[in-house]
Order: sequence, then C-alpha cells, then structure tokens
Amino acid sequence: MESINVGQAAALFVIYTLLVIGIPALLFYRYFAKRRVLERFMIYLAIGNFYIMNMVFLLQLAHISNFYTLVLFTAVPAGGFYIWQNHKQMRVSLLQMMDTFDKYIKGVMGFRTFAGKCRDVLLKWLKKIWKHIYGIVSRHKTEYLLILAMCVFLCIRFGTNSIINYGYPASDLPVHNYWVNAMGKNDIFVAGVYPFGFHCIVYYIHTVFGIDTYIIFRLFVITQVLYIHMALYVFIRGICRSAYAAYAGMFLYVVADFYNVGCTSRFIDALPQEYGMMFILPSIYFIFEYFRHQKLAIKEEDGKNKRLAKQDALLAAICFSMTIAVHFYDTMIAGLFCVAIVFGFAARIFRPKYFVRLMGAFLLGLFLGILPMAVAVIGGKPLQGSLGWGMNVITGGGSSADDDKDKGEEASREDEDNNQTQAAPGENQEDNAGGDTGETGGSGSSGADGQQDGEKEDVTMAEENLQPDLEDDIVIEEAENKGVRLEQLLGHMYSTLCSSIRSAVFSRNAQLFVQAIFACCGVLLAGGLLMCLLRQFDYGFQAISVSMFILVLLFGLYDAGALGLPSLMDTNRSRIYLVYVLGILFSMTADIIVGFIDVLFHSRAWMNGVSFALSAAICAASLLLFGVRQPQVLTRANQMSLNGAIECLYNIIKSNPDHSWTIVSANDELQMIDTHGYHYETITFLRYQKYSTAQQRLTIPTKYVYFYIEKRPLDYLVKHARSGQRVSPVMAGMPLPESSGIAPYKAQNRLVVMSKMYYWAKQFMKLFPQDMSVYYEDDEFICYRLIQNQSNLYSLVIDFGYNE
Amino acid sequence: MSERNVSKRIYFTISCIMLLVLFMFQAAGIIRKDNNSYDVNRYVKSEDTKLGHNDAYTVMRSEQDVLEDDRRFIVYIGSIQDGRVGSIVYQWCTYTKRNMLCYQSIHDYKEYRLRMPDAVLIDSAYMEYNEEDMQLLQAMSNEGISLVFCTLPGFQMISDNEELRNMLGIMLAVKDNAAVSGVKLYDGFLLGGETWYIVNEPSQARYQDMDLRMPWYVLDSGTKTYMSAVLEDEQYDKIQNEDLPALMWRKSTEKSYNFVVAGDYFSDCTGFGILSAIMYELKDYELYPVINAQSVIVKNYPVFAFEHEKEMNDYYSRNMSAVMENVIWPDMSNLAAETGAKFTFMITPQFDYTDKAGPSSQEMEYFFRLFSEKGFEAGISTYKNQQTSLEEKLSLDRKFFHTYIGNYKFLSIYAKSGEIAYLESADEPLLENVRTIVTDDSLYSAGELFSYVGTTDTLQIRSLISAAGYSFKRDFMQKSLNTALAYASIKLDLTRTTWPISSAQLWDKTYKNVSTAMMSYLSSHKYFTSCTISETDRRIRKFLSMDYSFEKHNNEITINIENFDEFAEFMLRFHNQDILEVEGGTVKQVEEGTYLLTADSGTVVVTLSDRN
Repeated sequence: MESINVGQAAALFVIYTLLVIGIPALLFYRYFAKRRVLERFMIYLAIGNFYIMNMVFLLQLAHISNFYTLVLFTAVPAGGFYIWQNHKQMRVSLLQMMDTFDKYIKGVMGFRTFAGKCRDVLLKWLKKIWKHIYGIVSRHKTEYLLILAMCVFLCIRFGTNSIINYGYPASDLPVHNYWVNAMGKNDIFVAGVYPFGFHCIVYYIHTVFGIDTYIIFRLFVITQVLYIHMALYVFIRGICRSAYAAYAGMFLYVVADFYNVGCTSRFIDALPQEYGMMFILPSIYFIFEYFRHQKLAIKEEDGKNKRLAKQDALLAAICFSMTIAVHFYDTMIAGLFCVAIVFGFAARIFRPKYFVRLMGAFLLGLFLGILPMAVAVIGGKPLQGSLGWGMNVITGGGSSADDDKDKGEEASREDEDNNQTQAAPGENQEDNAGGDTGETGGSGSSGADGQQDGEKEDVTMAEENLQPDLEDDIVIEEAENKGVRLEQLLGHMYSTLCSSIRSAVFSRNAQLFVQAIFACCGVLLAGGLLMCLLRQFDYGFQAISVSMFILVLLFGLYDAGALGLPSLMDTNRSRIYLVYVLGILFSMTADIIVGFIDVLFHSRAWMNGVSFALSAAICAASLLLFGVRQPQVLTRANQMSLNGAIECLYNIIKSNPDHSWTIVSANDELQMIDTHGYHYETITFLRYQKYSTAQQRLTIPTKYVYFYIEKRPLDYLVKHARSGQRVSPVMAGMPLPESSGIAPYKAQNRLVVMSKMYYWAKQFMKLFPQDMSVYYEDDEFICYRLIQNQSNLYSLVIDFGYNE
Repeated sequence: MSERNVSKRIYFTISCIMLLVLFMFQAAGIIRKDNNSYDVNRYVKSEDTKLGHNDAYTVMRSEQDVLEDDRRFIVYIGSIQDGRVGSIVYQWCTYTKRNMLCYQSIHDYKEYRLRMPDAVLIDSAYMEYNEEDMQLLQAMSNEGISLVFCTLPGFQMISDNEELRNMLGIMLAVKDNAAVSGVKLYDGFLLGGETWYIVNEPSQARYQDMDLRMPWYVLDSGTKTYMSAVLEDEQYDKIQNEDLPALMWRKSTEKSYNFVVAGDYFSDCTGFGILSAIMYELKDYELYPVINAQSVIVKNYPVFAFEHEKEMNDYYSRNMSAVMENVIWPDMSNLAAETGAKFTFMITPQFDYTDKAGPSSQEMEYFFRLFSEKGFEAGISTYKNQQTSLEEKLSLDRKFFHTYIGNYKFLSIYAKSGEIAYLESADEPLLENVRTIVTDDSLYSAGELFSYVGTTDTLQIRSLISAAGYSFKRDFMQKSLNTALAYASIKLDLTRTTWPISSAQLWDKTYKNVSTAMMSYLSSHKYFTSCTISETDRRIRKFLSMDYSFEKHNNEITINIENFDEFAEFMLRFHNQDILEVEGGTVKQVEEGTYLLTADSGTVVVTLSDRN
C-alpha cells in the first residue's frame, strides 16, 4: 500500500504540475519569456489555478460540469490558443508529417525509415525541452540543487505521514470530501456558500483524471506543501538582491527545529487554508513589481514597462482573487501585507499614476474573488456555517481564547444539537449544513477537544496549542481604567505579545526569539530607509513593507486585544502564517546587510559570496542550536482511521462493481466511497440490534456488506482511561452510547461500539459461516464481508449476547 | 466489330475451373458417403463395459455396520418403504455413497452421541412434536447434529407449538393455504442460478404447474431462505421480500442448522438436488459423485413405412417420407445443434404391422446415414398396433433390420414397464445386444431413476422429463437433477406427430413448445456431457459401481476412488474457495464455486485457493 501511495502522490504531483505550470507555460511562454524564471513560475501558477477554478465554477453554475465539458473547456481553449499562436510552424510541421505518412502509405518509404523519422521528430522535441530546462538550470546549478534538497526534505517532513498513515489526518476532511462529492452532482455549494477554489481543483483532478476524491485528499498534501513552499521561496528569492539569502530563512523554516511543531502541523493535511497560502505572496510580489515597472514606465515613458506594470497589476488581482476563492484567512494575510505596503510605498502609492491602477487591480481582485460567491448568495444559497463562525471571530463575537476555553462544552453542546441527525456527525455547522448526506449519515469530522468544528479545521492536538491566551482583555481593561501612559501601554503590549507567541511559535520558550524578530524588523526598517537614502527606492520600500507587515501581523493578530481591536483569527491559525512569513523577514534582513556591498561597492559576486557565507553560517548555527526537524507523523492517538480500513476500502472499490456493496463503519468512509458504494453507520446498526427481541428486521440491500471493526479501537482524538485496550466482552456488555453525532465514536464510547460490533460479527459468522467471512485482518483491524442474495436479504438483527 | 474466338488457353482454364467446382461440390458428399459406416453401431465398442448388477454400490443400513464404517451417513426418521420421502432419501444415499440409518420413531435413534451423522432427515409424518420429541430434537441440535425437516407438520401444529416454531426459525405462522402466484428459487442453492417461476404474461400460464397453495410462514432472524413464494400482484408491493411465504430455509443455531422444506418436494426426484444442496449448505464445501450425462430420447421417429397416408395428406399434405425427411428432420437437426444434444432415436420401422405398407429400406438407409453423420444412435421402440404381439413385432423388425443393416447392433430399447419382464425372458436375437431398457415412467413418482432389472445386468433407465412442453415443475426438477447428478433424461415422443389425429399435434404446432422445453432443460449443456443412451448407460454403470473417500487438509483435497474404471465424475461446491489446480483429473467451472471434476486416475488431488 505504501508503494501505491507513493505512486499516487507522484501522479498527483505530475498532474497538478502539468495543469497549473505545464499547460500555461506552453501557451504563455512567449508572452512572459523575458521575465525571470521565478516570476514565470508564479504567473503560470496563478493563470493555471485561476482558469481551472473559474471554469469549474462556471460549469457548475450552469449545471453542465462533467468529464466531457471539463475536458472540452480545457482542451479547446488551450488547443485553439496554441494553434492560433503557432499556426505557421504547425502548418509546416503538419505538412511534413503528412508527406512522410503519405510516403509510408504509398510504400515509397519503408517502415523502418518511417519509424526512424518518427523517432527523430520525438527526439528533436525531447532535446528541445531538455535544452530549455538545462538552459535554465545550468545557470544556477547550486541554487537548483539546494531547491531540490529542500523539496526532498519537504516531502519527507510533510509527506511521510500521508504515505504511512492512510487515513485522513484532519477531522474535517470528510466534510470537504462531501462538498467535492456534491460537485459531482453539479451542486457546488451543497452546504452553503463557501470559498470554492480548492474544491474546484480537487474536483477537476478527480473528474478528469478519474482519481478518487479520497485519494486526492489523502495524498495531494505532498504536492500542496511543495507548491506552498516554492511560492515562499520564489517570493523571497524574487525580492532579495543576493542569490543565497533566501536559503537562510527557508532553512530556518523548513529544516531546523526552530518553530513550534504546531505551526506547521496542518501542512500534513490537504486543506483549503493551506492551499490558498500559495497565492498570498505572489499577489504581493506582483504589487512590488507593479511599483517598479510603473516607476520605470513613468520615468522612461516606456511602453514595455507600462505593459509589464499592467500585467503585474492584473496578476496581483488574479492572485488576490484566488486567496478569496480558496480561503478568507489567506485574504486577511494578503490584506495585512497590502496595509504594510501602504506604509512601505507611502511615497508612491498616493500618487494618482500609481494609485488608480493599483486600486483598480485591488477592486478587480476583490470582484473576481467575491463575484462567484455573491452570485450564489443572490441565487438563494445561504452562507456556509463556518463563514458565520469566521465572521463571529472577526467581529469579536467569540475570541479565540474564548473558543479554546469553551471548546469541550461547545463540542458536547454541538453534539447535543446534532441529536436526531444521523448524518455527518461531528462537524457541527458544516455537518448541519450538509446534514442530508443520507439516512445513515457520515462520520464527518471529529471536532476534537480543543478544536472548533465547522470551518474550524483541527489545527493541532498538541497540548500546548490548547493553552488559552493570557487575559489580555482584563489587563488592558485595567490599564485603561488606570489611564496609564502610552509607553506603559506599549511595554505591556510587548510583554503580552512575547508571552503570546514565544511558546506558541517557537520550539523553545525563549524571550530571545521574540526579541530577535523585533531586532530584525528594526534592522530591516533601518536598512530600508538607508537604501532609500542610497536611492535604492524599490528595494528600500520593499524592506520597509516587509518589516511593517511583520509588525502589523504581530500586533494585529496577537495583540489585537491589547489594542482594543477584534481578534482576526485564533493563535492556532495565525501562527501558521506568522512562521510562514518570518522566513521572509530573516532572509531579507540578511539580504539587506549584504545588499549594501552591492550598493556601495557594486560587486554582485562579493555580495553573493557573503550572502552564501552568511546563509551557511545561519543554517549551521540553527542546526547546532535546534537540530533537524523530524517528519511530522500522526501518533495513534491522533489518527482517525486505521490503515487497514483504508486499504480495505481501496480493495473494495477496486474489486467490486459500483453500487454493489455497503460499508458498515464508524469512520470517514461515508464520503470516501463517494459514488462507488453505500455506507451505513455502525451506531445506527447497533441500535437496531437492541430490537432483536422485538423481532425487528434490519436489512442492507446490497450483495456485499462489509463490516469495519477496530479490534484495538482508536481514541479518535480523545484519550481516556482505557485507551489502547482491545475489544472485550466487558466493554461489549456496557450500554450502547446514547449520544448522537460523532460522540459515540469518541474515546471509550468507541471501544464499547467496536466491542459490540466485534461480537456481533463473530456471532453472525457463526450462524452464517459460508456467507460471512473475514475479508481483511491485521493486528488492529478486521473487516468482515457478508455476501447475500439481493432478492432475499439477511436480517442482520441477531441475538449476539450484547444487544442491550 | 470483329468477333474473336475463345483461345485454347482460356478454354482450358475455364474447363479446369469448372472441374474444380464440380469436384469441390461432389467430393465432400462422396467422401462422406464412402466413409459413413451407418450400418454399424459405433457405440457397441466404445461404450462396452462389464460393470453390472453385482458391482453396484449398496447402502449400509445396519446400525452396527454404519457406525463402524468410515463412510458418511445420514439418519432418516421415516420409512423407506412408503414410496415417498424414504425412497428418495434412500436413492440419494445410494448415489452419494452414504450409509443410512432409518428409524420409524426418533426415539429409536439412541446412538446419536456415538458418531455424528451428516444430518438427521425427518419426515414429519413420523413425528408427533410433543414435548419429548422436541427435547430430543433439541438435544441433537445441541450436540451439533443438523436436522432436515423434509416435510412439515400441519399449519395448526406449527402455529400452536412455539418451541417447534423456534426450532424451525418461524417468527410468524401467518396463514394456512395461502394463494401465491409463483415461486422464487434463490441463487446459490440449486445449480442454474436464481429462477422465478411466475407467469409474466398470459401466454406463459400453461407453464405454471407448481403448487400455488401453501402455508405462509414468516421467518425469524438467523435464517437463510433458499426458496420462497411470490404473492399475487395486488399484494406484491405491500409485503417485503423477506416476509414472503418461505418454502425452503435454514435456521442457524449455536452448533448446527435446521433445514426446512415446506412443500411436497421429496415425493419425486426433485428431492435429490435439494438434499445435495442442503449438504453443501451444511459445510464449507461439498463433494459428491455425479453421472454427467444428458441424453435425449426421441420415441417413434423416424418411421420407415409409408403408413397413414390419409392422415398425412390431410394434415401435412405430404406423405410420411416427406414429413419425416423435410418437415421434422431439419428442425431436429437444428435443435440438436442448438442444445448440443446427442439424440437417441427409438425406432419402430412401422406403426401398423397388419397393413400392407412395409418399411422402406431406402428410408431407413437415409436416416441411418444421417444418424451416423451426426453421432446419434438408434434404438428399438416396442410401439406397435394392438393387433400385433410384441413377439411378432420384434420378429418382423429383426427380419427387416437383418436384411438391410445386419451388422447394426441395437443396444437399447424403449419399452413400457409391463413389457420388461417379457423382454428379459424373450429369446429374440434382436435383443441379444440390448443392455438398456428405457421406460416411460410417471414423471412424479419416487421410483428409481435407474436400476438393474432384477438380478440381471440390464439397466433400466427412466425417461424422466417430456420435452413436449415446458413447465415450471419440470424445469425445477431438472435443476435439481443437474445439482445432484449432472443428469438429464429428456423424452420426446413423436408418435402423434407422425400419426396425427388432430391439427394440434402437427409438428409445426408442437415444435415451438419442444424447442422452448429443450432449450430450458438442457441449458447447462455447456458444462455437462451430451450422450446417447449407450453412453449414458455406461456412465450410469460406472457411477453406480464406484465408491470414493476423500479428506481435506489445509487447502488440499485428496479423493481416492474405488472401482475406478477409466474415469469418474464429481461435483465440487465451495462457498469461499476456488480450485487452483487438479492433479489426476480435469476440472470445469460450472458456476461460481461449483466445479465438475473428471478424474482420470484413482487418486485425485485438488488444490484450492481462497476466493477474494
């Protein structure tokens, strides 16, 4: 199974790269050939994603989205555009090919000559591609080697989990799976209006390439994490003057055990928020580029720069719109960066020649991002529940601290609210919205302790992440009451900030790291000003913008309470962004120091040499001080599915005709099976067993019925006194949990449910040994298969000794 | 325009082509005629066997012998002599090489703890189901002995006896004598898959001959239904499948199973297949010997005399010869090709031995050549006009056959049951090679399918199912025979077709029914072997004489065959396994998990694999 996972993950990477880089590159290479490689990467990424997201959305809106229309709307525009661009060359090539084929058909040319000519044409193309790639790589061999090493490390660090743990790593993935499944019926907003971008990409790959959605959700994470980090790298590399400064920040972020593991724990899940991160920095980069090209265009009245500036503005708008389309939190971060740019580029931004187009681009981005969702809302679709929760957080209706504090109560309360609703237990708002997923409902997601449900995807299970924020509100209140002076307030803000982030963000709880951030901000700010004095305005403004962005982020997200502002997002989420952009801060700080060598001595070689040495020193020091980050792998306590369950699912889908089987399980299979088969909830099944004495009949009308039973049940994120115990008659004898939703599958309840199910299966197999058999078994998991006659179904209610 | 003569070269070429065409058309016929030894019965040598009455396997019935013997055995509560259930059970034991203990009262069976039988088969007519009976049945069940209720007591008794209902797996006794519209046989029990014996359109009404009145029992959980009734249309949507009147089912208990057959299915050979299927359902797999022969006997066709000219002219507007050759034979030939059947024609050279129309030698030669080409076989039919004695008829037939096909040895004869005694004692040279007597027995009797005539080595075979028309009951019976024995013995009587007294008997009217019936009854011809009666005879002799034992170790079954003679056939059925490899034989898959094994040595090793 591991090798299948690796193969599938690699296939997903190739498919995604082909879609968002390969095809745009083939079509638009001519337009962007003069731009830097890293810019081209961001451009293709933006164009590819933008086109797929919006095409899928439009087709969904028209209710005509399926394999054929998706292929049609991909191939026809792409093919048409390519032919339009290359019709002359293609005509010549086509004529040559036809001539060759004609000769072969007429027998003028022998098969060997014909095959040789075909081979020559193929080799010519391959050589051309290789030459092109080699031309790019050969100029920066060291850099590409370092990038490759980084990618390998990223795959190991974030990909290992998805390869060795087959289940969903996050409890809310089933809900996203459900939404994507609904897109198969052209219902894009099945649970209400929600940023659709990521779902469109997953749906597109699923429909066009026939890869099951659950496989994409399990394994797309590797592709996603590579692109997120590549976006970060190309951004840093794009704004840094020196060649190697980027690696310092990247190394600290990716390789060194410098940040708290919780800051990157979500990178093992393929979730929309993380997916959207890859569009934040490109949008900022194109704003920076806009300022540069616009300045040149104004200065030199150059049509080329004017065109480039227009392109930059448009691309910034596209990227910004995609942050909206994928996840609003990404938009918030991009927005905060824009605020910082207002400070950094204050000298230019308010000039009409900059402002008008920039504002136009901003509005266009906003328009492109919001329009599809606005259309859906106008069409009568309600907002998805989690958006309400997000708005609530932003408007201060419930701070992250409050959320964390009340997590347990809320979870149980929401479970209570879900009473009478079998469908999709657990995911509260999201699940309620999608409650009509079938009679038997779905496992949905857990809403683990410490996590909020709905859009509140499980961030981490680590205990330290669940610490409530300090009582900033109380302190600030006191401060206001006493009317302390501004400096005291600032001092208090600083100390609050330090205490907020030092444990949440860094792997070691040290004040020094927080101070280092401020120091870097200071250096970058001062360096930016100095650069401006040295007439390196673009670079200087960028440095100021980055430092300001970090400060805005710190105070805006972590000290909002102290400033009397609403908290935009909870610590668990904001720290993901913070550590993501801290790499920019550290890299740019190093870069600005060595940048002076270039500015003052006009020696790029020296600058690059020093940047290499400095980055190497930072990397070596961080390695010595912090060590290497180990792969992030879920522990058993945090797993939501056993490997056996997923392996079984894979085999069941592969070996049975669609719609001929049902899985009775307590896990996430409801959404995973999509249109292949049917699902029945274990808890519903067991509740029917209670009625055995009343001669109640329970039938499942498919030929094959698979029963998933965990012999050593998972905790499902909630540890309990009997964690790790195997199913037993004692537990089977306990009363069946009465709670609804996901609650019967959590903690000790799960042990009771699985124990009952285990003894039911044993008894049923005893009664029908020829028809019920063990389909799969390992140390922790067992799957029974019942083969029945569909014209005369088995009554699955039997007396197995633990009915009550 | 000048006329050009054909050149010598072109003339020569055209002549060669014409000669070639002539040769191609004629050569096949000439070769076929020259090599057609129609006057010799090819099955005399190929199907020669010395197996006879003395070689046949005999079922042990003495308590001591049975308990000491290694063979499998069953216990039957009832009487073998009653001509119904007991007779069927006994025959089935003979065919499956099981021993049998028979008691008229269940209380006589005291040794159930000594050695476990395969099952205890119960004829409810011999049970009282009082408290003592129930206690004993329960005790057997607790010991792990499976019970097969071949018949059920009355509805009222079941309705009143909760203990019995629990034992039978009946949740509710709904109604006695409920009217149903048909019967559903579910997949996986008898060979042939799921079958619905219901009338879908008015034209099918004539097929319905199943019993449509039955008690209605709704089953409890822990039961598996194999056959149930279908209710009338107006009730169809209101009643769930699982609540339909059950006809055959199994109740699982802690250690054993209780099988119930609620219907009169053990009064004829339908019971064989049901018993074999029940044995299969008892375990992970079942292995038993089969005959693997499907024969079709055509009675009183062809006729070689130009008789009944008036009737033939009135109904067919043709003489006898034209009807035989041009009307019936083409259809018969097609039918044989479609069903893969090898017909055996039971011939009477003439119907009426008192008239002047004697048999035609040309007509006989014509048909015997066709038989020989197609691999069919000819036998003798005892049919005659009443004025002629059997002795006379046989004598006249002998004269005719000896005159024109003196070398043809007839191996089989079609006779009435009452004629068998005469045939055995007659000193008639025409019968000296006959070793098979096919009898026209009643379809639904519990008589033996085949047996040796008295202490002789002549085999008597019952032609069981008439191909004159399709019916549900016959189809069900054929399924049962396929399951138990891989055997079919179809009879097509053309007496009235070749001597019609009404237009309904004309071939063009009856052919549609015949073909429907034949296609249905012989639907499994792809798996089973089509045989003439002589081939069937030999297979039956082998089947009756052979004995076997087997043992399963892990995924390997070793079968040891006693009295092995050239080959032996077995049916193997597995619930969750498949055959991977066979050593000492060949195997053919009949259905999922069902295999027909042909052993070509005395020891066969079958390797199995688990089914995914």
